[in-house]
Amino acid sequence: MKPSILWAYTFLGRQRFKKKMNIYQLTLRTVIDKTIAFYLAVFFGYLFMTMFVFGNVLSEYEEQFLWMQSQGERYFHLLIAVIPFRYIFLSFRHPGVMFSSSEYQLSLLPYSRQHIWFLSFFNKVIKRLFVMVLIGLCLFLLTPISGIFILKYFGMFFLIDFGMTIPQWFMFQRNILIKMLFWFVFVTINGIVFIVQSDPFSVVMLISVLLILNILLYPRLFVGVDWGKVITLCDYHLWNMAFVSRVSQVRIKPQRKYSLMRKLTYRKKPFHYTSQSIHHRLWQIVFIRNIEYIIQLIGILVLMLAVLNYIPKAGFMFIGIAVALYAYAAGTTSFFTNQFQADLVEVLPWDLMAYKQSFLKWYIMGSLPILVPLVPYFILHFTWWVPVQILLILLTGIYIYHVEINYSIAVLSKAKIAFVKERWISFIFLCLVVGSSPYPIVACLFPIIFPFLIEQRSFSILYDGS
Amino acid sequence: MPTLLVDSVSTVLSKKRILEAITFELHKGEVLALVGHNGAGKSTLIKTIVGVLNKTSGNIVINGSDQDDDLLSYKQSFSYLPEEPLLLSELTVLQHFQLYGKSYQISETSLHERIDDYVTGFELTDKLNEYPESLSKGMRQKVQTICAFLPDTPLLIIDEPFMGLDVYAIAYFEQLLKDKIVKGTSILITSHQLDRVKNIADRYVLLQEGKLVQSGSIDDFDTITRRTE
Repeated sequence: MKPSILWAYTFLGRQRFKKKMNIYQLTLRTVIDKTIAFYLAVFFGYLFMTMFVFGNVLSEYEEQFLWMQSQGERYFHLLIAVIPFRYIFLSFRHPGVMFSSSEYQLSLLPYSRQHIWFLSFFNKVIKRLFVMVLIGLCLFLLTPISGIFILKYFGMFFLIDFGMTIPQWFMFQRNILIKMLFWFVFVTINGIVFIVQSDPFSVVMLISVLLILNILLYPRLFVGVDWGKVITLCDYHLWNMAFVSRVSQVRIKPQRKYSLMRKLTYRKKPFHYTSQSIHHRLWQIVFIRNIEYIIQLIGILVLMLAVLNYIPKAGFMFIGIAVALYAYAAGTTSFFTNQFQADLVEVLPWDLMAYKQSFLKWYIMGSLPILVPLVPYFILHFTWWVPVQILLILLTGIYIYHVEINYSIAVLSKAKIAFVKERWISFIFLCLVVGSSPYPIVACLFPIIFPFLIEQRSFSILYDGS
Repeated sequence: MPTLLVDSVSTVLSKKRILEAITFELHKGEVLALVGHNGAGKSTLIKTIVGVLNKTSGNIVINGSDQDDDLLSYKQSFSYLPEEPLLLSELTVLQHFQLYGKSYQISETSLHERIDDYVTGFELTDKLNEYPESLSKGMRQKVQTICAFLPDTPLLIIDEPFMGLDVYAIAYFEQLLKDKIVKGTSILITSHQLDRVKNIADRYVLLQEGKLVQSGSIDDFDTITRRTE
């Protein structure tokens, strides 16, 4: 009798689900005991009752929901046209269809790999449909947004998700040029949609393009597939459970990025035998592995400062600048630390001061996009105080960088230095930045940063741990 | 002063005690074999010494440098050959050697001399500009072995060195090991191939369920009993 592939696949799915649930239960038990669980249940029950049953909190936001709906109806054609870009971005790190080492093992038994792939594809489609129906129902029942509106949007979300699965799988297997080609196709579609400004036209066009893409790519679905890469990344996405990692303190290694850069011949050349040359490559490796987080960090800060440009009160921009200075330094420091907590570098000796020196260039390069939204602000609000304010901002940024990196170095080398004083000084300098908006004369205090900066620049951990 | 001092070291992973008050010493030019069943705690102990895992109590000192008080010097004092190669997929074989050379402050001339010797011995001369993915498992193990042998550190820590190596590579590896011992390098080695270890080691430490249950001269070491006995 021919073995049932459906049974084998669902069996695999059930066991995987059980295992994940077991891991979550075990993890939960380590952080929440029965007493805490009871109080949490009471707390959330109370919160739910207060907000939705007695308080009717959502009705207070009725106007906002209706405003959202009117905007959503007005820009429907534009909003749905940009969704496919999400799948182009995703194709850098996810094949779109889960084919982990378990599916691969199944394909070594008398089951066809293609059949397993299609089961995985339909599994994904059903799960997405379930989640979307659930969210849609919640929105319909809890908010004043109309059912037709929810159906229209979620229907398109589902159709695009379904229609972009095969293109995403295809793009994942191919290099950046193919991804750029897809990018170009969807940029063109967006351009046309923007000119025509019609909802029915936008829907018909998008569905037609997705249909054509699927018809064209379907025969090439299993041509040139790098199964090793698919399996590695799917395993990573499947078992990288953030909550479990945080509680158990077991690090899931970042997935290996298969970058285009590896194919460039000059990158195979031996290094100039200097720390700078070798470290720069190591930093590139860390950045490529964490590219999503870097884009998120820089993107959020750029967005925040860009939005603050539209707020007429000047003080908000300076508060934003202070937040950005600290958040950027703290964020980049985590990438610095990351270098020494994984793979080969973890087991090698560390010349941390040389690493710090080579990292500065990347720190400055990464900060450039964040400075862009400040240019229009300072042009529009130009006074003769602006150059001094900029000087204060830049010096504060560099000082905080040194403090945060030096602190990381101290932690990495297990040196017993607390950096309490230095962090208070950072805070005072940030306050000066904020204060220089209502009282620009405060910016003239920038020279006081120099001695502290020199002290941090010359900070060093010696090999005897002092 | 011992080259390696492991003093009452305990390690806990996910609230489970994996190592319990392990104490031993390793002296200059000595080879110590770490033996035990699967799951006895050998690799955990090695990773704790290397610093990949954090100990919960005890002290580890290499050549006078304490892991807690003087980590940077401590890390300069040993070289580690892991069970599974830790090579970076973005660096070529030669770039790995340069990374090791710079990290251990080996001069460029000296580094290239050593690379030439080892690469010839392990028959990797035509693989210097290759990425690890394009090498076989055995070749990757050879590359990692060369990396670990490049620096002249007081201590060499080796975890399962014979996995994936062919007979010629094993013979060359043993020869290199002897050269290191003659130069005064101390070696901490773990392997399941007990016959080979008995030919190399001077002393042994037997681990069982995270505890040190026996130690002594390798000549007195018979074999390990079945785990369930």
